[in-house]
Amino acid sequence: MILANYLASAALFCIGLYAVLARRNMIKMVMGLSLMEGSTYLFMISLSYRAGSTAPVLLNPPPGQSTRTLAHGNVADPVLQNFCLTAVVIGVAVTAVFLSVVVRIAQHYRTLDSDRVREMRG
Amino acid sequence: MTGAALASLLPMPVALPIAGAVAAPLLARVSARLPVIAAVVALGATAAVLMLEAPGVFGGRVLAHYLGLWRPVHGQALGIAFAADPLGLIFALAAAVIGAILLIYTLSELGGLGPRELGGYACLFQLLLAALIGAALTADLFDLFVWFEVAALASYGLTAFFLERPIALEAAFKILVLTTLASFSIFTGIGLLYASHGALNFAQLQAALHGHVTAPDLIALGLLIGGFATKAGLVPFHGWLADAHTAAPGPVSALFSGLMVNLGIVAIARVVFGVYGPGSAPVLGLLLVVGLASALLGAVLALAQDDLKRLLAYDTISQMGILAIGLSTGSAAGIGGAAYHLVNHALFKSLLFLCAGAVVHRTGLTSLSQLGGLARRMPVVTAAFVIGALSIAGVPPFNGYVSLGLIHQGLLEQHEAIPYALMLAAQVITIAALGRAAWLAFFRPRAQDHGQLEQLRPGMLAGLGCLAGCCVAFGVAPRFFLETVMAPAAAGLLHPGRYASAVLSGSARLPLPGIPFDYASPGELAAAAAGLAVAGILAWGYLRIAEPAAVRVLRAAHNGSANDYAAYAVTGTLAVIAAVSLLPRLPGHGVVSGGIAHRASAGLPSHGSGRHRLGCAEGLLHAFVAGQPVGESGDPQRLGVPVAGARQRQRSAGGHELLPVTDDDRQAARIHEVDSREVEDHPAACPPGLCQAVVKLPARDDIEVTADRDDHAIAPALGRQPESFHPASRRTGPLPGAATQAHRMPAHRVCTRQHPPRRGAGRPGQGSARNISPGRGASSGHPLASCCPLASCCPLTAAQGREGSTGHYDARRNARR
Repeated sequence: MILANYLASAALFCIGLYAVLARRNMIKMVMGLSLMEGSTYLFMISLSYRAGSTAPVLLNPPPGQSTRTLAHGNVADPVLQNFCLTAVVIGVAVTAVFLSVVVRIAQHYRTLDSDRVREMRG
Repeated sequence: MTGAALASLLPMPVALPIAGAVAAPLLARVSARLPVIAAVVALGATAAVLMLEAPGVFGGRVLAHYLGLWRPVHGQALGIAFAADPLGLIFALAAAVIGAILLIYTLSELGGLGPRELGGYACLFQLLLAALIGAALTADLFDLFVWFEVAALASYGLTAFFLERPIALEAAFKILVLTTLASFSIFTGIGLLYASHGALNFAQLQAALHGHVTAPDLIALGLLIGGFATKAGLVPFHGWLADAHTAAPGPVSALFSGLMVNLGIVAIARVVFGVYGPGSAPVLGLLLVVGLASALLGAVLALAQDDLKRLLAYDTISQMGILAIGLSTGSAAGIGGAAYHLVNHALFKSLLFLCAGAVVHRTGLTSLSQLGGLARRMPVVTAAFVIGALSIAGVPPFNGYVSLGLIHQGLLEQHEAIPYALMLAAQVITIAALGRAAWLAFFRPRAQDHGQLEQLRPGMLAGLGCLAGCCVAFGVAPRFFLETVMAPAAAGLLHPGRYASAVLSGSARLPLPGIPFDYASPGELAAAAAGLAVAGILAWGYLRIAEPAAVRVLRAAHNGSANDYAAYAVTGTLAVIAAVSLLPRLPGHGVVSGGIAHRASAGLPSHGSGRHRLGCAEGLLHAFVAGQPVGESGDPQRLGVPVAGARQRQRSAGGHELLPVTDDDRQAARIHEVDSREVEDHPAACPPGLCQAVVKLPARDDIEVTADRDDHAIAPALGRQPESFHPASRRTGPLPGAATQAHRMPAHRVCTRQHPPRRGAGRPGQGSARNISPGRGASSGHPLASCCPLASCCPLTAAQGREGSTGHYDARRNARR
């Protein structure tokens, strides 16, 4: 059921957004952002799916099918899956920077509460 | 060099800084300063390569290069494309040149840092510049996202670079949260667009979206604008901006404010104009509102700041708002002014941040209340700061005068009186804020003398001198920069079809409109003088009174909480999506029909222009013209562009006619050509020998049919037989006169011409007119109006709902089809 994918993606997104907007613990905010990120991947993969499609692998076609029939047939859209691969790589880098900043904040301020780390305001 | 050779150099401006960035930490092992010196060399080479491209691109060519030579086949591009259009090249050049200046300044001011620090600094700095250049030159939405992310990663590193300052960590956390949210927004928007259209290339998307914008596309547009507005720091997405600029050292703040935030504006311009076209959604009105809010809020908060760098950061928000206002005008003057202001802002804001960095570095003080009396101790920095402030203030002969004047001109051309007044108010507050800062920091007498301060080093002097000199140069030679640089940039945004066909087929050139600018315009000079006077009074008053309640509320809203800033950004994104996707469906934007020689404000409701611009942007004009369009409907190739001898009369060739033909005269006369994508061929619905043209009809334009000076015969024919062009006449069959005329007239065209402006029945002097001219050209030789029974002025709005009831053409709202 592809609809379940969309619903799961929306639910994950909302949970993540709730964590970012309502949780003051910075680690939880990072977790929320990671959840949102995961939900976008699920959304993209679901968008690329077509009913009854196979994986977009054209090498070694299964018996009875040639590469040409596969290419013209029903395969899932590989471009959106590539999006996700690229975004996963970027997301890993961003999360690493995120967590290292949070660790440094924890070392300096001795707190993880984002409300107590707001010297700059106004 | 040939165009192909030039185009094949396009990846170099990105590859060189990335190579420098990779090499920087290694070079730092040899010598601490070597990575920065290598970075200056790499950026110099980048600027040189870009300068090689400049003559062709600013001459109207769009150079495109596909990596691995995966060229488009039948208008379908799979490969990764780089394309240099004038706007992108301006931004890339500014990034390379100003980046090199900032690195020279860094070498001088921060050259004493250790090898690890300088290696990392040079690496991140070049990575950010490479991402900005890549984003400027890419022709692909997904690559734009990738460069956005590269820039974001580099900016996180640079914000948190000086780890000994805890506020840098706080700022890094906020920029991380907001930019990550923005990247989700952009990512989802791109995915939605790709899922509906199967294309990522700007050109292909533009062709796919032309006139066929559906609800998912509008949601994607809202997501993209929300995401890129976060990068640009527009209200309400601006929470990260002031903190990040405050925490970073001077050159990094200059890089962020002068160059990085512009990435958001350039990306918004690409998406709004290059991909969607401003007519597809009420997006220009949205940009106007967001821009005005940013301009005013940023200026007010700047006036209230005590921290010098934070003041400049809030002014950056204000200036980004002014850029958005310039784009929102949708006219050549306004967009050219925005492109001009983009460069100007990069120059004067870099200059101001370098001055602020030098002050902070020398005195160790950041707050204006503690500073003072620096004019005697730091005369060079004082002079540079004053030049920067005067440039922002729009005082001739500095550069801000020209770009702000052009944006004013764009607003006034669109009759946006209230936005114009609000923009002037924002400028006055900006001048007051900077005047107050200059007084408090530099000129105010200070009881305690600073003592002997460290002298400026040669590299710092060179950096300040270059930027200040550029501020003056861009102010005293506006005609040169307007004609050679800014007018092509505006043309590139206003003619996305040409950009698309150049990228996909390499054949089109951009038209080069003239943007008039009157340097000694009394109105502009008076506005500048009055602005200075009022700002002086305002700054003087603000120094003496307590903080007003409204300002206190605004400052309290910026409470420094990352959660709250994220909430503002999410609310803003939702509001943008709602505005973009819901506004066209409001009642009151039904069918607007008009007829020949109806001179009226097309679809302009009687209630105020601002609301109108928000609600409905453009209509479609359906017309039947003789001849047939070449190619298929939706073919991205511009008709007439590759035709040799376009000035000669087009002859029938093989049953196909060339509808519109590019003609330099008409470009000069500001005649809007119709390209093939605007022409839809509906043989079943058309009388034989005619084809249907769909012309985008900007709101407020008049419709008029004019005969051509070459084709005198057509005018009376049209006048006598108007029914043959009526859509309803297809039921009864065409009248013979029309068919024979069509046979005799091989090259009918629909073109539009901007008349001396007029709008509405009782309000002459506003608006513009469009001619539908059967025949070559749109001269006023035989205006059909003279022989048409409907020649009397009749407001189009009066004809609402009576589709086709008034004659030969009906203009419909751009209802989604």
